[in-house]
Amino acid sequence: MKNHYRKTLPLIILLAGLVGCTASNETVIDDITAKADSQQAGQTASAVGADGQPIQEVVVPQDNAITEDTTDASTASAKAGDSSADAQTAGQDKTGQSGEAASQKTLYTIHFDFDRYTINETERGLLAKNAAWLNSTPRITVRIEGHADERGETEYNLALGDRRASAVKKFLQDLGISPGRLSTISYGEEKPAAQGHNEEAWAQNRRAEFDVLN
Amino acid sequence: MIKNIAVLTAIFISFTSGLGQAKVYIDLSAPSERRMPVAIGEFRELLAQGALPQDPSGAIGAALAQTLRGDLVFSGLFSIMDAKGITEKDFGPCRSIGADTLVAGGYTVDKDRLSLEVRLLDCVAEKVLLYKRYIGSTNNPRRLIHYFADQLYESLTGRKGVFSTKILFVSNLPGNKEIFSADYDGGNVMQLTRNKHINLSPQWSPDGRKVIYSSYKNGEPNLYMFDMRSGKDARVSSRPGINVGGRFSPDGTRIALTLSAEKSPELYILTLATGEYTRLTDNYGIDVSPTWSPDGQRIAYTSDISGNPHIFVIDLTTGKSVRQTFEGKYNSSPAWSPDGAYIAYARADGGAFQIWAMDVVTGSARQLTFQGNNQSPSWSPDGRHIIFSNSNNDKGSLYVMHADGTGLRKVITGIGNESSPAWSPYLQ
Repeated sequence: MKNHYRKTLPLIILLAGLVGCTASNETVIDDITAKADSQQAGQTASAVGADGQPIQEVVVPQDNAITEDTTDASTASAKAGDSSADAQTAGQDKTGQSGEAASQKTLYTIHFDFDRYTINETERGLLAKNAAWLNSTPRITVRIEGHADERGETEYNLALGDRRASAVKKFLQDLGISPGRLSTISYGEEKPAAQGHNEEAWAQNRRAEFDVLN
Repeated sequence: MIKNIAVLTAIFISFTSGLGQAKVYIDLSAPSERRMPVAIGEFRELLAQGALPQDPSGAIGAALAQTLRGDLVFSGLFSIMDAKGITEKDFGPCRSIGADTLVAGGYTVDKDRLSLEVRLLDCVAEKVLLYKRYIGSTNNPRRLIHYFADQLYESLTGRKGVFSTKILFVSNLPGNKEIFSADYDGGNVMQLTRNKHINLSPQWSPDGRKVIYSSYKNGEPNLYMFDMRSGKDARVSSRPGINVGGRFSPDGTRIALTLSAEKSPELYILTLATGEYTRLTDNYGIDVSPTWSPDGQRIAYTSDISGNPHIFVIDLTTGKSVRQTFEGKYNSSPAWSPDGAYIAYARADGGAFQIWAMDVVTGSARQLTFQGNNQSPSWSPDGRHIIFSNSNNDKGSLYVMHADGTGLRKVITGIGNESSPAWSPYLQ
């Protein structure tokens, strides 16, 4: 007899569990995008429908419009602002910058081929001028911003911008600029210089530009 | 004693059949062209004798019926028949309009509290399949009926419905890219970030409670985690360079991401409990956009190591990477299907991107979209649907389709210029 109980006990427990589940006809739904709702207090009373028949009751909590808590995240760097746009526009005016490196008002923006982060011959010439200017202004530190055109994937373009900024930094280091004066950031495709959706605009947007920090 | 077991077994059988698990009305493993005809009756406000209607225009009832119709049409398994005036007692009229099943319901309104009673009836067997009450808010009647649609779907197919799932997406409508959530069908939009900086690539935690995303809100592209319940936001990765493309491991303990702190943008795994980074790739190229296999053993990603961007899969046990795509000039944004059998991705042969799906075992790929410029595929948790972004110059929008490319439809959020969609896991 003892043995028999041993064999049937798990079955009895299983059935008891089933009875327990089905007897409580109310499901409390835990919502993901909602704060704890006073309605979902976990009560499991069985309910009766309007016509007296048993009904399964489900409490659907509200969607609360929760937004990020920005209290510790509002210290955004002013460096990331839009002031670089002016520097970049000036930098693109290559024809007006033929004088001495020392008289250069700003640093040339470097452009790249589609999906590439190698610096081609003409751009190397511009970078050499940038290096000369940086040599003549030893107290200046700059941030190199890498950008991509709008085509392709967001994350890939962030990596591409990162590679472009790093390639420019490396080139300037090789020309003797102290790495301590050069920082990099990638904006991927997020900050186009030209707004169009054609090769002309894309060519302007595949770039590394310089933000003078001090 | 044997007799006792027999009695208990009989009770057990009656319980399971009482739970309605006996019949599968729609067998998803044997797809058929035939759609199950479902009649959707009117949702009427239920009033006590002499009481004044709280929803005199019937707006709530209309929203309930319209949302249910949208859910069932979306699944691609049902044809909807209008059954105005047919009540839950009218099996005969239900059959006479050619419906196998009928949904009929009523609701009561008490201030902002909405209580919905709804039945699913088998008109042929004259049987009640579901009888449920949903209690929620009058602010969002759609939510109650989405929950019911999940139950209906499950009772007819034996599989979980996706109608209460959500999507994350990015829109620059506020003037900069912010992160939003919405119901899977684009309704009930909520703005999650409001930091006025660039916010990118939102992804869900496996339990659907947290969102990870990259943001420039502290100047540099760092990875953040946002708790959907508390609104608490924490920085999870802020190495020098980029901290982007974070994707939770299936067990939620790790995050795969791209960091460029060392020589080039490489894939890493961040173990959340220890804050420890493990580098996965080691080359001079770009490695981005990780997506975990459902068993957590492999990660598919985009790499330009072979010259152009292609999809690779790295085995986390051996550390060995294998190239998966050999055609197209640009293959990116891989997304591993929930059943592990496919990797969806975006492929361009020079011009626009289209969505493709590759059989993981055979490597054979199939093109799923043919028009426009489409990227960022993301699977529904049941693997039956794919959401993706479409960009037409300045205008971005979201589309969904069935996993075989049929049933294409636009997801209307009302926000505009949407991109980077991410479909949630099951949320209930």
